[in-house]
Amino acid sequence: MVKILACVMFVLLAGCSSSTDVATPSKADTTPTPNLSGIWARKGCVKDGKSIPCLLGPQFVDPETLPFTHRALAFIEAFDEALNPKYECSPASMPSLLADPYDFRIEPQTVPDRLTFTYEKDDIVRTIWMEGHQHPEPTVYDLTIQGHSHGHYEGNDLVIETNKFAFNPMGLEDNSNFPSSTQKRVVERYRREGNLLKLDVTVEDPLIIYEPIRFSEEWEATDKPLVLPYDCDLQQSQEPRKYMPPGGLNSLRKPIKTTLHSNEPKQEAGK
Amino acid sequence: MRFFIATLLAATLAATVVPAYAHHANGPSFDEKKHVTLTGTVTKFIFRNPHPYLYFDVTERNGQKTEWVIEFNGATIISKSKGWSKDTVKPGDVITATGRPSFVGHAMHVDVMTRGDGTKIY
Repeated sequence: MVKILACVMFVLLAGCSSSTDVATPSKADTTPTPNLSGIWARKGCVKDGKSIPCLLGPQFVDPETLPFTHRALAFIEAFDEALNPKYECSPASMPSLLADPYDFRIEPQTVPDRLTFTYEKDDIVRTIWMEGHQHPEPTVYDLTIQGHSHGHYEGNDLVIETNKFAFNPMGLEDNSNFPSSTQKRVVERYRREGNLLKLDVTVEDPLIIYEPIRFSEEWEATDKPLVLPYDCDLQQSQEPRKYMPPGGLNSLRKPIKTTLHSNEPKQEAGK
Repeated sequence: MRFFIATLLAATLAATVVPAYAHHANGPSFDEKKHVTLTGTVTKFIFRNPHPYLYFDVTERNGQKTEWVIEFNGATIISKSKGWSKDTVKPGDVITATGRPSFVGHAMHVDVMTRGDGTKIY
């Protein structure tokens, strides 16, 4: 009797039974992965159910409405626009990459350990390392503009988490010099609904924003091929510097120069 | 510079002309609150990313010529949305452009452009 009870308890607690001895594929093994491949043309950005500008910049969004930390606002105020690396053909990164109306392609997944995203913008190609990959993990200082991306499927969703970004003075928004630090972490959740590709984005960066920024974006499937290569021209990229005031552009931006205020909560001593 | 400023549109009108977030905004080198309209002769057009630039000579009232520069949205974007290519505009073409002037120098980010015969091309 004791043995029977022990066995029953063991089965209840550990899931042990004769039926579990038979190797059966898990649900994850039998569920087909969603096919998100194709060329996608941006429809627009959404926040709290409302259409919003895909740019976060001060032309559209008051920086004080974004959860910038004090140090981030200090950087934005002090940074000289002319030093923005975009004037040297430096490519955009997530989430700034999403701000422009360029199309992108999710390549067909030919090998199970990776996905490839090809963007018209800046000739960017991202590799998403999927669960089970054997690719070496980045080392502590292996920081890059596009970061290191891991992906996995949750039902019909493709979830991508990217970290290991290099510090980037335009890493949050490249039109406004909203920076990002090496602590930036971006989570993208894609799902296909018919001809639409929907994306929910969460951005964390404790050095720059004191709480996550979340927004959504939609693309529509298109038959138009990508226009490649982007082939950024360095001289053309530098051209705007000729039209910047010698005192810096921030001298023209009164709201940024003098009134920025962070709502960053004060931290308790010792924390 | 006053010779060049042919039209100054009200901010409200500008808001209706410029799709606020339909494209990558012009760089911060340009004054969003002003508009300028100029007519001149194209001397050079470079159709490259990140932004194509068109150079054209504007004749002042006193007969002097001044070179102005027009910045466009990205070459990729306007090739898809407007069908532009490196051959859309050639040296010698007469164009009229309306856009937001730069804070410094003789440049604008274009919003509307027509050929000499009035055909709208941008």
